[in-house]
Amino acid sequence: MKLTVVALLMVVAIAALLLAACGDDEPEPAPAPQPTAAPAPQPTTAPAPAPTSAPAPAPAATTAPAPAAPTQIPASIQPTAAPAPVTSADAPEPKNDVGNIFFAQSSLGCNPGAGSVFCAQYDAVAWGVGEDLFTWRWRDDGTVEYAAGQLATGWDLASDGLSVSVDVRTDAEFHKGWGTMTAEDVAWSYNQVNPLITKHSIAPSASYFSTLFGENPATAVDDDTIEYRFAAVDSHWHTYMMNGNGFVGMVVHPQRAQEENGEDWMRENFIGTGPFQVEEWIRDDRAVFTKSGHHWEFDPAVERIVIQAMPEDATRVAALRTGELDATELAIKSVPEALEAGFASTGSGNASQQGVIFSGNLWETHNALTGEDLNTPANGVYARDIQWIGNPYSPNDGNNPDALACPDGADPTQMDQSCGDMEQARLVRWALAMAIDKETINEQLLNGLGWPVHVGYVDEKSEFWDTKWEYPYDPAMAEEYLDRAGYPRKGNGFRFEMPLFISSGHTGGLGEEIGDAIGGMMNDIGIETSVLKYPYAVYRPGLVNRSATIPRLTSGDDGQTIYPFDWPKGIEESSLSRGGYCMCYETEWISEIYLGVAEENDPQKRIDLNRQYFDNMHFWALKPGVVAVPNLTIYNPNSIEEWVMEPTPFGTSAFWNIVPASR
Amino acid sequence: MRGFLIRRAYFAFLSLIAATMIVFGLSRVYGDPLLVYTQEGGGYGLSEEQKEEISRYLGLDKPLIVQYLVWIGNSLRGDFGKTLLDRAPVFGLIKGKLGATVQLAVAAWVFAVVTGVPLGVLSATRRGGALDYLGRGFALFGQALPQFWIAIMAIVIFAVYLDWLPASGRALPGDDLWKQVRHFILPTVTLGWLGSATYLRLVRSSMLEVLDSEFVKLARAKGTPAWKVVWKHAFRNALISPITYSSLFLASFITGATVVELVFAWPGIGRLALTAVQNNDFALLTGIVLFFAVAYIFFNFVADVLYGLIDPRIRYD
Repeated sequence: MKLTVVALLMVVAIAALLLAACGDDEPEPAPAPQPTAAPAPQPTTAPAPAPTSAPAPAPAATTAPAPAAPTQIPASIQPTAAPAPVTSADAPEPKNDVGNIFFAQSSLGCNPGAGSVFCAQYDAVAWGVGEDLFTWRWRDDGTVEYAAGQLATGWDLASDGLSVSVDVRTDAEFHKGWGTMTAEDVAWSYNQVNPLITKHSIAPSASYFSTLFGENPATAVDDDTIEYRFAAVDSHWHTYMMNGNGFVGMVVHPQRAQEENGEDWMRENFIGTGPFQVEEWIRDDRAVFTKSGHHWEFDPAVERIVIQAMPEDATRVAALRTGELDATELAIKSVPEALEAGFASTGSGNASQQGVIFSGNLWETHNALTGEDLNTPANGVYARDIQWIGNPYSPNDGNNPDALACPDGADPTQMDQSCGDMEQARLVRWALAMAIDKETINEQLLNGLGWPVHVGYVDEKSEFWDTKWEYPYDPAMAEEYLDRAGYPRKGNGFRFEMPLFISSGHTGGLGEEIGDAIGGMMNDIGIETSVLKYPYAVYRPGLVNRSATIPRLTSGDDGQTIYPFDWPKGIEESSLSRGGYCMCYETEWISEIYLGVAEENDPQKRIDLNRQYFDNMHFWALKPGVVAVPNLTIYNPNSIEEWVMEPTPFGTSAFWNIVPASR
Repeated sequence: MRGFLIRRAYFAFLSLIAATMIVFGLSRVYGDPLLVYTQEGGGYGLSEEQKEEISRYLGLDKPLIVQYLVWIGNSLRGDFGKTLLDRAPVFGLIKGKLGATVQLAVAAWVFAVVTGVPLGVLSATRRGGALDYLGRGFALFGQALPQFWIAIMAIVIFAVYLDWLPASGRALPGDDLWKQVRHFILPTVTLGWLGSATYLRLVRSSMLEVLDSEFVKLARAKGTPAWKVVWKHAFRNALISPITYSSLFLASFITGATVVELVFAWPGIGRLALTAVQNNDFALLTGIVLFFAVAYIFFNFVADVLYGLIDPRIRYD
């Protein structure tokens, strides 16, 4: 009898599965692309970039970092200052006790309890267990204040821009009885991260700190003042001292705890100053935070936060729908359905700008910092003629049409002199850029929640966006460009082969789908595309060695809409990042503009320089964009009445702002 | 028997040495482990001096063979090294995840045995009947459906639609026993279904063979009750291959639960292995693969011994 019941249950279950699997409506076919009378890429008479060798400024004495230009947060992802409480009869009754919030995301990294190891301290600060000197805050007008003090209460930048004195709070308490934070703790924490001082440091901020500070240790001048000496002038120095909202972030830990217990103990016992303290942190499993009860600024309404690592998006959706989870990060394609089911969304005001980067275009001859000869041709990227890689070292390599040949004395790395192999590859990259149907990708894969990106690091939502940076969607024109570049369709219908690399799991799996879509679009214009999906770690060595030649879908480090327009852009696109990660194209003008912006104190001049950066980037098509993917967190309005996140490029933040729903 | 055991142990040892060489070699095949520090999101400008310093710190500056020997020597003392990213002891990390994996594996194994074996007997004794077809259908689906699909559908049906069981993860340590048990049910069934189906087929075919043998016919002719013929005479003789397979099943549940751990957010070793691959954390990866290899070789050894114990013909070969 029992067997019969079991069998019946199985039959019912399988029938239900089949129904569920077959029940979806057939998706409507993508609209046929409308050919547009696309403008050709900038003719080769385009003006060369203006000299960017701006002299190092002598900044006036200031008590604050140079203000960043306000960035307008796209309305679609912008949290409001005081959102109306949302409740939904459709959302499930939460299964967790009031005051407990269960949140899930795809992974949970290692415990960032010790400052010198490679663990995600930006998570710790975004979630509210650790703090750094500076932070970002919303202004009332919806723009971002990029240099708000967190543990810092004031600062005084020296007139030569080479040192800064920072005053810190005297009322910040370390968790679990480790006492009041002092300037000594702050200086020690910074020195733990700087690999030129703590030799074995591999912290995420390590190399930023070695670049910014050199071998100069942070020094506590008195109980609440630290003096930092910089290796070079950097107008956005404070972004390296952020709470994770800047580039990488770090956490201030108690020096005494490590002295008494050692670094191994610190690794397992996170001690910070945030509004929550860490009770448990088991990587790839869970982290449990409780309210610390003595924070200098926030008194969270939530007693306990449980963060769970759930790799599968479908599992997170299910756990949200059963009420097991109160909030979660979801793949963007799952968001509309969750919202329809009565859940609410909040966000940190950021979207990541995905684009295709063309590694291997290494045109810089000398290291922009040291002047050392890079001897680039020796690394092998020019060992064979690759269609999307321009070779400035032998532009007339015999593989390009006669019409593109370089005249004597031409410098093909200049916009107004592009010729030979450089021009041939530029036409190919332009063709690829024009063959990507960004609107369709956004509609079909992001349910319209994103928006097109034409040139990486800027998009139409920016107030500085200029329509001249667009790549029109025009497959016919793309094919014409490929013909001009000397790659006609062959007997099999294809012109040449191209791999496209997507790191597995990129943007929650969405990246792999975008990659497949791009692969199909490339096939349509005769480029036989293999979409390679494997762990990023496999691809990384080629980046560091500057031997990567495979186009790759990524947002890059700077591809975040929340980053101000006037921040320096492109360190990873130049010889400035040699020895580390890169986008793996390098040009002299990127280095010059980057250094020019970094050293420039006048925001308007920084903006002008970056406009030039985008002019050049658009012309050379080294980083054509695809789509911006907003960071959203979905929550159950029956658990959480209100959740205003702090601005951050790193997803979920500010658990301390959660207002639980009354039940 | 002693000679047989020594022979099997010797082969197990050789297999282990080969496994360690392969594991260590593969971990270095596709790139310099130091390049992990230049991870996206940070790591610019790591100088050669800094790389050398870290290299010395991790012992990567020595020749590969020396690194291997040092690693083997340390492993024998229970020191699998430290992870690249957070410098946590690998052995401690594996130990921390082992409990979850072993609990799930044992639960799945028990599920496979208690469902697969009786269903196999029933299927054999009701050959051609409805129960036989149901049993074979159960086995067919168990063997044909991919685990990730079973897992997701089980979540959709039993967690989302019916709201009977939790969708994911282990319960927290302080939760009551019933909650802890409820969290086990879906992952256990998903992981164990394939094993159950295999047991069912093994037991069914063994039972059919035994039920057709002369001594069973004789027992029936003597008027022995049907249940006694089936359970005492036939079943005991049909158990040889399922029992010997049991240890390998358990090994495969321990080492092959990655998909189930991934979908159900079960914090076991499979997920740890996946993270290690994604991070290029060779120290962690080699530790985990070594653990898997040891587990498999150990259970294979147990299977060999069981064969020898149950079937004397094997141990006297």
